[in-house]
Amino acid sequence: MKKILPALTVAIAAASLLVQIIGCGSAVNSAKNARNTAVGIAYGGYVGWTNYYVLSTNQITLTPDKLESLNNAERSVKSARLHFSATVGVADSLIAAYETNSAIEPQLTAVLNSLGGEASNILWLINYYQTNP
Amino acid sequence: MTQAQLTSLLQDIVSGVGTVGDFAAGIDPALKVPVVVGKAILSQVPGLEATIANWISGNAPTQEQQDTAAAQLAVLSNPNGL
Repeated sequence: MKKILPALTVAIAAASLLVQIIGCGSAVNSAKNARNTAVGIAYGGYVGWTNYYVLSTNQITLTPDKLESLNNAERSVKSARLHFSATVGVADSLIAAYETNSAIEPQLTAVLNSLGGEASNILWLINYYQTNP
Repeated sequence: MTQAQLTSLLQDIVSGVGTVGDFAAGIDPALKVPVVVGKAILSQVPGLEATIANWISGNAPTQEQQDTAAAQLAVLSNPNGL
């Protein structure tokens, strides 16, 4: 998990780029699939993080400093995932609105790009905390 | 990079690393990374392969995919979780 996380950030960036390219004909489908892909990748990273956190905080050699560091990291990851979830909510609203109003395509593209960036940010944070304990 | 090249790139991700030799020579080096780690990504995230395949084909996500994403989002948005 540790080694692939940096590459995942590149993958999600490439994925968000796809929204603009495929956009036209099946923009709503693309938007939904882009949204689901970002959610799936963020979720995969988050599950890896929770496993790491639980294992690390249950080690017999855990020191108070290490526990504090892990808890700080946990708060950062939580903040990032809650922010990501809020952006998904915005994306869902825009996707629904886009079905009847194609004029909001720039806004939809922007929020989907942001979604990719935020999923990437979650993975970056997780990778950082796992490789810099 | 053309849309056809990008589509091929994502198809390589979907099918795993596969043979990307000649194709990889013609793409931006920064975009080779997703191909190399494609198989690893898919093994880490259940259901992602089908979602990306759907994306490439332009199909709407299935109800099952929507339900899976909703369940994953529920976990990600839980303020009481880790």
